[in-house]
Amino acid sequence: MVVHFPVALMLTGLAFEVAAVVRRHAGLARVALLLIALGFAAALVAVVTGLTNPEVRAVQHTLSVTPPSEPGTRALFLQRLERIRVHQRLAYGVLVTGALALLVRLWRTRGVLWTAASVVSGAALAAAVIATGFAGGRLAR
Amino acid sequence: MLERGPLRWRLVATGLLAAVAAAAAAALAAVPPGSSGAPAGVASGQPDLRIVGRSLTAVGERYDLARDRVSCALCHTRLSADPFELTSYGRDYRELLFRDNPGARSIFDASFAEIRAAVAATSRTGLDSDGDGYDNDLELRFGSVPGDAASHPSVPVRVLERYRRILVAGERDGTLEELRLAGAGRRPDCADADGDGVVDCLETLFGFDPASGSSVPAARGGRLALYRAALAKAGVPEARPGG
Repeated sequence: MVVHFPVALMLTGLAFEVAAVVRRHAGLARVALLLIALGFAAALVAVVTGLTNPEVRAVQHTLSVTPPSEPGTRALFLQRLERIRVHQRLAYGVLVTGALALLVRLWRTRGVLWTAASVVSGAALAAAVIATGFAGGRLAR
Repeated sequence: MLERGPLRWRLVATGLLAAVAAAAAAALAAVPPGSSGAPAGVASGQPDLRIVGRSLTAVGERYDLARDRVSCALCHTRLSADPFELTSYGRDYRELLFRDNPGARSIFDASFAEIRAAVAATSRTGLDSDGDGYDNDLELRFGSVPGDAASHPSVPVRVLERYRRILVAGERDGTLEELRLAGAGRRPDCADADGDGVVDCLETLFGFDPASGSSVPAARGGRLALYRAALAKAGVPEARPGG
């Protein structure tokens, strides 16, 4: 289950980053950046596996062949498809926020603006990862 | 060091990250908007029988099941989240449907006639999906769930099989239709202690608990009343009024 890797790596990386700031520890900061980068790579793999998931095609095919005379059955599959799409949008959001968070961390120097950018991008990434994990969990239930 | 690598390395990484971010943003914008448009109750754990599909309709028609006492759970174990997980009865039905219609990629590729044929095949005598000793036809005919081993009437199998033989003979020789036309499908004059909509004399005869609202046959009360009349006419003592 590749989807667990980005969640675990990115959230642990962000937690390490907080610990590095609190303890003023450069080693922890390097580990944090490495974990976030690995999590981002895992997120790329997870998105690819999600896009090639045969269930999506099965749901779309089922919808295409379900006659309008069965609105309830269509509604069930439409609801499933909508849940898949919500998860899909959030997963793309993880890639965008993850890339921005890494860019900030690659180029940041000392300064209030860079610190603010680090905090905002880290918080956005954490929120995106948690929301995507929650939406994925709803799909699996 | 990852954070302070050579400038060229950081530029390459920046280019790659920017490309991924741009591609992901474009893909995000391209995901089609939409709403499920699901009617109230759908996929919320309370399936509404007015909107379910042809398979349940075919089973309901064949066995005269009460619409408020059967649900998609007859075949699906996880209706809300995943329509593809099936009960043992659902698996048998699906297997037979696709065996007889190898070109179908989905259940929705099958015609209603093919669905009816698969329902009939799943009810052939002796096929017992849940392995509780009561075959699928016997369970559906008298109102229990064929995909749940814990759901079966308390009446012994041999007694219900005897009832079935009488009823099948009655369907063939027209006795059941005669009885129906004579009004035998009306509600018998018995109490309904648990208020579940099926009177006590019918619940007792077919092996359900007349004191428990959760023990109720899925078959319509009118159908069971007709069966009771046919059994009484055939001389089954338990089916006679007061029997």
